Amino acid sequence: MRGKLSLHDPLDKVLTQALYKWGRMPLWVWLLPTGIPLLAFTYLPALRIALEGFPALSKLFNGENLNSLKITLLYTLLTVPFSVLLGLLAALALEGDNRFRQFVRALVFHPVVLPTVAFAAVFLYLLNPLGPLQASLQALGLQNPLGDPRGAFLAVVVVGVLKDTGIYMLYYLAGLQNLPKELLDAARVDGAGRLTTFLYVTWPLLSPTTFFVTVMAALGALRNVDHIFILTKGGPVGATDHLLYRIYTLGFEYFDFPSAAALSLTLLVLLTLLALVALPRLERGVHYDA
Amino acid sequence: MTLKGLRYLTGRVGRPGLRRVGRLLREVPALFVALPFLALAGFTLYAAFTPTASVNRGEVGPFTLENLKLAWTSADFPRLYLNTALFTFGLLLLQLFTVTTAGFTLARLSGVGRDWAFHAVLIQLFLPPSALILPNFLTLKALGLTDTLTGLALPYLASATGAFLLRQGFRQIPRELVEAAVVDGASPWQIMVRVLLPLVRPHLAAFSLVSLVYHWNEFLWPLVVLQSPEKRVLSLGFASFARSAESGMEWGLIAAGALLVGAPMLLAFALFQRAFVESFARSGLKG
Repeated sequence: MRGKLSLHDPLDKVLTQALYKWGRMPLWVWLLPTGIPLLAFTYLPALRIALEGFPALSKLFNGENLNSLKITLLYTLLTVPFSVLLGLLAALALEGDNRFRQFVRALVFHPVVLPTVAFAAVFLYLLNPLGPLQASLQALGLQNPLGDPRGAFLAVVVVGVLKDTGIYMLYYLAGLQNLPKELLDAARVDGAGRLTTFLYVTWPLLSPTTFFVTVMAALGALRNVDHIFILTKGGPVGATDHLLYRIYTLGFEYFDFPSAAALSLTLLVLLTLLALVALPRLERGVHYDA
Repeated sequence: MTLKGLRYLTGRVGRPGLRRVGRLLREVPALFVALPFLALAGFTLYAAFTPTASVNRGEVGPFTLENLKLAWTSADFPRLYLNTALFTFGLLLLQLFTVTTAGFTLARLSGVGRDWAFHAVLIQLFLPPSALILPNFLTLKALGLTDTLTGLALPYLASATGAFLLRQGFRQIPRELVEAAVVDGASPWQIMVRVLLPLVRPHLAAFSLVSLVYHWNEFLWPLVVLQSPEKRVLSLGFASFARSAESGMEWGLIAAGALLVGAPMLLAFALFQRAFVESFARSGLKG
């Protein structure tokens, strides 16, 4: 839809003129309905975490809390590439408009509309030692994946990735649709094979989408831990003790607010780092024009 | 084999049967992508509609609705649905106001003010309420709003996604339309209600769907805020129910419960697939 409407033509003058009575109201008044909740539930809480978490930061340096930080980083580092890969593969395999692909797209997307807790609960059944996957799990050397640190961690990654694959697929489908057809045609005319075309034309042109999916997947990995509550409760022996899960247990089960504040600060620092990487490019309009 | 025969095999010469095979072969990748999701959905349906005894023995048992009935009575589902609906729709109503005003302003701003406002709103994406459960809970406590659906909704009143979606919508309005309305002597209110809002309706709809799905499914923040059983939302009710069913290895019950919890959104998705897909694609934000 790029260029269809006058995107760069500022509406401002016209609107200010049209809504002259309201136009005299300073613009910031219009931002209050969003600004006040932002202040009360985003800025000030973040500030509070910084102020209360910082003096307690020494609490971070014990085995369990450092483990939690390590698990969070590992979880994010593993979830992101899998999400990108699966989203891309799904989009490539399911692009186009025949009935079968439409159906499979719906199938891949459906976990997105489900509560993570319900989606995860199905895996309790699938992964139990006597469950339907026991033969294949045994072949992998995982008799009871949820009872084994490594297996539990992998399970949490798999559930986290599969839950959101549909949405990443959607971003890639939109990205594929926006590829300039001339370039793909030119590649074909030059006799480039499918793989060559993908590696040298499609993939580089998709890099804005890949960046966007990477950011979203990292954000998801840092803030969605619902499946951990259902599948592993942080265990076994801390193998899935994500920072956010630990913040919950420390803060709301052990009422150890200083430790929870220190961990919250750690999580906020990770999120801020992500924002610093992502914001400049997101603002330049990485994603397609809706 | 003759050259002609080879050509048939490679599908260069159109022979209907082979062409169909070729077409089917092209769906193989799609099939591979489908498999894990098909297996998931399949096993869930199997477990939900098979007696638990058979499920545990891994048998294909007789079809039964027992699991669904039992799941329905093990948690107060009518109340859970009602609370969830109250929370999600009530919140949405308020959000429609906040995202429209914010989107409208962001579309009108220019220069330094715009950059500041952009950052101020956009930063919420990276400081999501789920990462701020600790201080936000303390705020609610100070306000005396813990264990209420109102308290549950407060941190979500402002929405960066929504604000930017609506900004996009307002910016796409052709200025000629507004000018024409001015020439016709429309009042500001009329311009807003008759010209601007109808034109951003698709954006409002897209935001609504995404917001409904997100909050309908939400778990962690409700777990922090809500204590009394009669205030619980679906995801909470399901989690406590799944916990007891898991210890009894009642997989049929868990699958049936998951179906009950997911049903409204799955049904909506089946009915309005296109709207869902477009809404989620649109809300993939563009600065």
